[in-house]
Amino acid sequence: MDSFPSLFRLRAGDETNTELMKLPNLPSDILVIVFENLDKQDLIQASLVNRCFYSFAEIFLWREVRCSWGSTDEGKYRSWQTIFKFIQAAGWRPNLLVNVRRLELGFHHNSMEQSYLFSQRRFLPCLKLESEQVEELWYMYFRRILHHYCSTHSQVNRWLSELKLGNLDAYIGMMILCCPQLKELSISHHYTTGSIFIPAALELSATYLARFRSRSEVVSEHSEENSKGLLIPLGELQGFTSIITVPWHPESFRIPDSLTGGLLGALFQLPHLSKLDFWVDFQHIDPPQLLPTLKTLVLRARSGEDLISYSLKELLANTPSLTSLTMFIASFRRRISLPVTLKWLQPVQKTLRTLKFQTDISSGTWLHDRPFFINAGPVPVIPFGPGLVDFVSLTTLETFIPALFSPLPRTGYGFGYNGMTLPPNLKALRLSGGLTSCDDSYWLRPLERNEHEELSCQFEDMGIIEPPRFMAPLLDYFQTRPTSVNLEFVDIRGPVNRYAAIVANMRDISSRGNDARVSEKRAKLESLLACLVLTKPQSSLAI
Amino acid sequence: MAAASTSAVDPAKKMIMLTTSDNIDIKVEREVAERSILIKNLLEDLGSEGDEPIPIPNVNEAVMKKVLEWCEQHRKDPPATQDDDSDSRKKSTDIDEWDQKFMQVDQEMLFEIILAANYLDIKALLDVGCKTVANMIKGKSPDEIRKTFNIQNDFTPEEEDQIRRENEWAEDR
Repeated sequence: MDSFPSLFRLRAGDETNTELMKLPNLPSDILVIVFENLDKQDLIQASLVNRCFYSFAEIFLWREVRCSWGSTDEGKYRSWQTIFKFIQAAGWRPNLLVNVRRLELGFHHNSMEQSYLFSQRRFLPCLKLESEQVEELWYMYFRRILHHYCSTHSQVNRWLSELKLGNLDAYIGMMILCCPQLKELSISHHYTTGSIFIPAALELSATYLARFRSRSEVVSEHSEENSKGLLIPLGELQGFTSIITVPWHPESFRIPDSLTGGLLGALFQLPHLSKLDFWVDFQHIDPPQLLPTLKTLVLRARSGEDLISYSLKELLANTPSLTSLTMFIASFRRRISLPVTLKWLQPVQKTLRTLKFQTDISSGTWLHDRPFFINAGPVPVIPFGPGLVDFVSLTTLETFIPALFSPLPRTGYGFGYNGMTLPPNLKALRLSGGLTSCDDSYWLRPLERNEHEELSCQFEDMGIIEPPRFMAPLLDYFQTRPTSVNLEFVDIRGPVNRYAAIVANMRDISSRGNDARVSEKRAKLESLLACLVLTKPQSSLAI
Repeated sequence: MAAASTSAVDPAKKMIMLTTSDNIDIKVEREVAERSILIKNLLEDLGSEGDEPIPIPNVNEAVMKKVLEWCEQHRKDPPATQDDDSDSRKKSTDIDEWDQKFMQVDQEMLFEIILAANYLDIKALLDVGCKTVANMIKGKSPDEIRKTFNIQNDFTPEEEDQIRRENEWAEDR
């Protein structure tokens, strides 16, 4: 009770103290909750109110530092500019870096080749702080941080001289070292490619941390050094992403060595890493052993083949707590065999809750190449195969349609055939891409057999030209299904008049039902279908 | 919390007495009062009798009544989950309709409710109160915020400029 702020005791019976009942005078743990609820724009405004507001707003403003903009030329330039502004602000207020939990540096790029802009920006223009004195203070701060981690003076001096030259890489490495509470780090490959200081920063952190731990283990568990926790660099780092946006021709690009080599090596020394997002290209080097702490893993590959040739089973053998796995496949020209993939996921099939197969079709070339064109007609296909049911913890499954299919000949089962069953605890199923190409809706059949009460299905159709043919059977299925299933259509495009035909057809179907529940559903359905016709093609439709 | 009791008097429905800072006794059902972790713990420490009035020295009658009104409305809410850390607390400033109406009070009372919720350890009420304040800040210019809360600007124009420059990286889209 003693911890209760004195202001309240003052208030009791003291009428003259109404002045105290102002927002800035509330106890700080309460103000923290207030500011926690504000978003970036509001925090920026709030920081200008007064000193009290400033001190709280900055804590939350700096929690998440995002310096990435779109992929247009302007966006790229702005991203770079934002990084520059951020580094400058960090120069003014280096102590605020302590608040950073998430650091995102980078811009999305369409192509590895289009880095002319970047190549000219390896160095920062002279950072203008308001005076040389401030600048000197800044370098002193950096020197102190570096001495904290580095064992040799020459290393410190080299880093500092690069900073003084305005070397962007040195600054990014420095920023990492200055953010001891960093939990998630996300850096565009433009900065990690050829980087010296980013792996150096990670390694210094890891080494320091290892030293720190062995020392404190010797001393005692609750040693006072724990209270100096803020000084432990990156001890908290839980997530790392290095973004490479898919180039137009994935086959022709090489994944930067720095991503697969030293950087990962440094990352794997960090004891709390639970989220990792990286590119698989271990043709030339041995795959690293993943950390047992990993919970979320995003594997990115240029093509399905890359992913397969790489032994997933070995990779995942050491990750008993993995709950979320995403496989991002840049190119679909060489197909991935999902039944095989599922087999390789065996080490984690009991723990996995989320499984996603993703691809990127944002680039226009994809449409012209029609990579999603699949002929699912008379050709027997094995989408997913029978292994899925063994993923007993799986609640979320996401895939793009072509990934469902493995064109293996002459076997009679597939997604929807011969006892194919969905995982027993599935709650959300999301299918995207190429829905048009499906002549048949046979992949709906496992849904029909599925006895889950609350399964929500989302269908996203990206850039297709015709309305999906499966819609009629899908909605029909929705009509007759005994339990409730949520269906959602996202980003369905196409000429509006084509939908009109489907709607007419649907009315026909929906008139078949006659019990009360069906007619209720029908009413809902009709109004939603009306929406679908009337609204813009990009609308989303939920039933 | 709603213990499946088979005894004649449901302990949840049992009345207990609270004494506020201005020495007013308020009778309230135990289950309602136990939305406050402080009171819940006190009751447990005192044993199950709870016949003696419990002094709440930091909350006056008007505020206590308001707080109990909220507790009454939310008496059946499931207890807050402990496992999610503060980061996962969503920035959503959605407040349910009843709570919104409940929070339509003058600032003085709003802050008193927040302080009382903090003291009485009623996390959900504290959150709703803080969200209400956050909503009063949202979408406003610094000057409007100052007016709303009757706060003086204690920055020099130079300092203001410096803060603007400092925050440039965060300006967005």
